[in-house]
Amino acid sequence: MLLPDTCGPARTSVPDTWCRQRVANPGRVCHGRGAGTSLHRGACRDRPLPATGVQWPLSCPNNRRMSDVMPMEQPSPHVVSPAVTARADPPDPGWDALMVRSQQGDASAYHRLLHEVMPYLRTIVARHPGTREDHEDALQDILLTMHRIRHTYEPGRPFRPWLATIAQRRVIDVLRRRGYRGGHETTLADEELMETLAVSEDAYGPDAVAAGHDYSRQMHDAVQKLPPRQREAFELLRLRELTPDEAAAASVSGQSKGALKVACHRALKSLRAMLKPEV
Amino acid sequence: MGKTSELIDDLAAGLQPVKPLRPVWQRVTGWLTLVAAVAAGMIALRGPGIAAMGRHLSGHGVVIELLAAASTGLLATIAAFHVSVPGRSRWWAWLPVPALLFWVGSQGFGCLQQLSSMGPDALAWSDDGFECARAIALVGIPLGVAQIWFLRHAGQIRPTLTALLSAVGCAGLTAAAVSLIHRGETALMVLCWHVGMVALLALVASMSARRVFAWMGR
Repeated sequence: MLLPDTCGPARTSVPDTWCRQRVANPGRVCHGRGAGTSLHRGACRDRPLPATGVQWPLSCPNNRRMSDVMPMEQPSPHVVSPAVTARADPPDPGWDALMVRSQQGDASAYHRLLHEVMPYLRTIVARHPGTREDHEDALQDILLTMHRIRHTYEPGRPFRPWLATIAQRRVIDVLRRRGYRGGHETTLADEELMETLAVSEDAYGPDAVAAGHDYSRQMHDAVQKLPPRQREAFELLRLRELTPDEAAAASVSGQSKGALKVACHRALKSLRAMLKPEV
Repeated sequence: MGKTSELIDDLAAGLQPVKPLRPVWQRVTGWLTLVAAVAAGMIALRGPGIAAMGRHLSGHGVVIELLAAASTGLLATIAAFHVSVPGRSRWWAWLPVPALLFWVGSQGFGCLQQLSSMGPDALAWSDDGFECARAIALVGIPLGVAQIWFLRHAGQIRPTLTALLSAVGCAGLTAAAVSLIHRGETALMVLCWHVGMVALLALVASMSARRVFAWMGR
């Protein structure tokens, strides 16, 4: 592949992932090493290409991927040197580099970074007990905290420990608050639960309405005792009132529509048995 | 996942550039310079004068007390700056412990020495130490709050540990300055009033850390 005319006379092709920037001298092209792994630090290497023996300029004013500077078709690898071929496919920018660019205000790098760290954050959050909503709340809290104190990341230090500290601390705080509220508050889900089970005053007496707090706490405990697949089916179909198709799509355990309906029915039977008062 | 994706889009759309924190050693140096200026002012206002201070420092026990308090305060300050940054190890919190143990141990040993040389007078209670404790509180509390404001980003991750170390740091350094101007108390009084006030401030800081950081908006 030949370099475009805007970069000067046609020369030997180079890997697409190398940084390129046209320098002030239109007859020369600056190539930077290390693009794709991180922002290449310091100056570009001044080295000759085997085919033409051209010396490249020492300084590269920009640390950018070639595709960011100008779109080009893929080079033919057979014309590059073995040393170049060995680095023909450098890895994507690490999270460290993306975070540095985010601190500088690069929104696309920040957007990419946040999406890439989500699986890692889910792994951390999943180690702690809680419902799916609790975990999502914890994830969002972690992202907000990351955003708020992004200035505390020190460029040059590893990014993962920085992120892990924030994630572990925030998930503990969020889930601890949830556990406290679960024991002292009546949630909407618990009220829906009562309606769904169609508890009759004959079975529980008029005191059940007056003792809403106590009953909702029992309800919450009973739902938590259900087997995971029944609990999931109950939460999706009854509490969140999803359609069977939507519930099947949202199911973490991969249950089908029919399996969710069966599991929900069994969950209702289990809950009635657990909450039936002693005679 | 839908709401989380929307949150990511919103955060990226509203991104503003930020200036990263300066290296820890730079911030510690700046902070200690401020504390040294405050301590120098305190000594200039309430101190006995350079000549008297020189005589005061000729005592072996006074120098040990000064060094132990100063090193406890200095190491606790360094530890506070480290643990306040995400990604830094929590093991930094143990940094001032040896100096603190030395401080308490040296005063305890001093009690025994004075008991053998002064007799029961070594254990006599004196209210003069209350003035020193009050000075430690009056100077240490504002310094501690200022340091917590300086480290307010720690409110999201390690509020209690940061506040505790900040309190020990500021109170320890203040106690070191006070040791230059107090009037020759016994080791028991130093242990009770100086070390005791540092411990009390550390306890209050650890119990109120979350409220203080929340008040600062973190």
